[in-house]
Amino acid sequence: MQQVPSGLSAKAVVVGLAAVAVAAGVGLFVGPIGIAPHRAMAVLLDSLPLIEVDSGLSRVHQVIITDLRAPRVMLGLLVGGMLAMSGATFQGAFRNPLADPYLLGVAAGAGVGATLAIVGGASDALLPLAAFGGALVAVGCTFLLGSWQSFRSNFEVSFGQSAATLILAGVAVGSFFAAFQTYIQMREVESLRNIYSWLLGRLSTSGWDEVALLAPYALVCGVLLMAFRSHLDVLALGEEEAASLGLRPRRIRAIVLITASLAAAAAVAVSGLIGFVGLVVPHGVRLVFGVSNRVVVPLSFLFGGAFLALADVLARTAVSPAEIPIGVVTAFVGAPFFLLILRRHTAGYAY
Amino acid sequence: MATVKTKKSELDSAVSGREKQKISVSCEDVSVVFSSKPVLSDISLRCVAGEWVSVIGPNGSGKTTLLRVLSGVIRPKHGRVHIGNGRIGADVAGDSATMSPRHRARQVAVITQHPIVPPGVKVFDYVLLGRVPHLGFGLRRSEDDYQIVWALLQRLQAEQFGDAPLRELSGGERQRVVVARALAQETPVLLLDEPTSALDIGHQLEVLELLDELRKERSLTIVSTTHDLTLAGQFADRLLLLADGKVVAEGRPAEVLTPSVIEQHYGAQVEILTHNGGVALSVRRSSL
Repeated sequence: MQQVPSGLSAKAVVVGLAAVAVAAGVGLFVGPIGIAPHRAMAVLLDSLPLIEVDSGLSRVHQVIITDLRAPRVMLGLLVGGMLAMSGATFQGAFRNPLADPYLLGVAAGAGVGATLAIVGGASDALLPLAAFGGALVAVGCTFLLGSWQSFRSNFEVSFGQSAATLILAGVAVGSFFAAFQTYIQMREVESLRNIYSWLLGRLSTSGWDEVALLAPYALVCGVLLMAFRSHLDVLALGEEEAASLGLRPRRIRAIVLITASLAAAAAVAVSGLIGFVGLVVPHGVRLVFGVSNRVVVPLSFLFGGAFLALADVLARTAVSPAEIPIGVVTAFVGAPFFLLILRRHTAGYAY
Repeated sequence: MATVKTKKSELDSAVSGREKQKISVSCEDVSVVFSSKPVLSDISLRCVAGEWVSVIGPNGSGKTTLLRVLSGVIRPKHGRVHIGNGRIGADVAGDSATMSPRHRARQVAVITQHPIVPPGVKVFDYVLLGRVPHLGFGLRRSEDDYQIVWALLQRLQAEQFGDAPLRELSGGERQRVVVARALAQETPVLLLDEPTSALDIGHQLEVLELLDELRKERSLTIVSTTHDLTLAGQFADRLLLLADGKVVAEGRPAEVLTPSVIEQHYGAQVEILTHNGGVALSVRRSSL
């Protein structure tokens, strides 16, 4: 009996795509305003070029589907997918199950960027760019500080030290930026509410503009992380063994971490801070589909997207017409869900 | 043209004879310094293809560092390291004409003292990681790679573990799988850092016998480190004794393992027993 190596099976991809389809369907068809699914489908088909279908819906209802729900679902899929894929990559690159997409200062940096924009009275359209810029500055600082020492070393690898140094640099940079943000908030108390609403994350203001802003980053980061996902399985052996297997572990880790941070920063820029997705989804995927990153990274994208799109449905319907911040929903739903799979599949998987 | 070349190389090897056997791994005047403290000083070592050289020495003598230099993960401050026809690492002046890490990993495989076993990884997938230096972009694997791994697991009588998580295996079984991963690299040189230090005496012998069989089957060159002088004295063709980062004795086991040498460098009193050409040590407490 010959074993089958772990790899991305067609079955796993189909299951992932099915989850995305279900989440997209629920996202499009469920909302405070009842619109029958077949009519909603007709509207979507009608909006495609070269196809004309009469949905029998009023103009307002058509707009609800095409300009409110559809971009929001799309954004949920992209943001959730990027956060989860980024989280899977962080956990793999650091060999640490608690690593999350915000580990290297993305969250704190984006927080400072967004806070400065809100306090400075910038328009909402500038908020994502400010958050994105702040995140990049913070991650850049982390990498500069964290890799400083390695330039002076005569080691081809430094046996785990460089990973720890990077995490510590991330903690330091994160604390610094968080302190800076608190300071600005204390000075500008009247904008506190706006800042918190951003910090808790939301997809509520999203339209096709945000999708267009995010899509190129999703594409580039997705392709890169897919190309390097197999290398994460080699890095799991530690730097010394990865080097003896012919890789340049530090270079690869830098590439995947910068890419994953970029993905997280882009996601944070349009949606605010949404916690838990980058942690729960990859672990859930590992418990069910095995630990190989060849499988975990792509499936995290699919299931992360589905998870966030569904969480967003809850966020906007649970206390309708008001909305719950989506970050609250992901934590509320994610934690018990995670415990459930943990109970069912603990065998053979323990860090 | 091809036939002429073949004849020439045949002639070369016939002429070269025993003295000029193929050097499979060597280093010359290697020095390593960690934070201005010398760890290795002017080490030279030449291993002939198919030879088993065991590096011995007290704790902190630089054994593991020497293996790391030979495997290319540490660049020496001075000196040159060659594997096969190629050069690895770089000297102070810097040298671009060295092997790429990938090329190097096709020449030399390493078993570290405490291999990291990632949680949840299955035996088959773990051994498959040994194929990494042979894979192209994106580390895409082929049916050939699976066949190589499968054949290795069968050869090492580990095929029944293939689907099991590596962490759930016993120490001896696990070490066989680690050996399989190193062999999956299909390198002419194998570097082993205390390959049996975590095993009981029965499994130590089992793993070392296995390595010796594989060495003869595949004419591998093995450089290993060990604290077990008795096992070194029976498995190695040659011993290299390091103390404080310097070579203090080198030669066949019977030449290196003498009571006076052991007393001088390990501070221990031993009796030497010979057995089938190998050497065994018997330790004596001085007060008894």
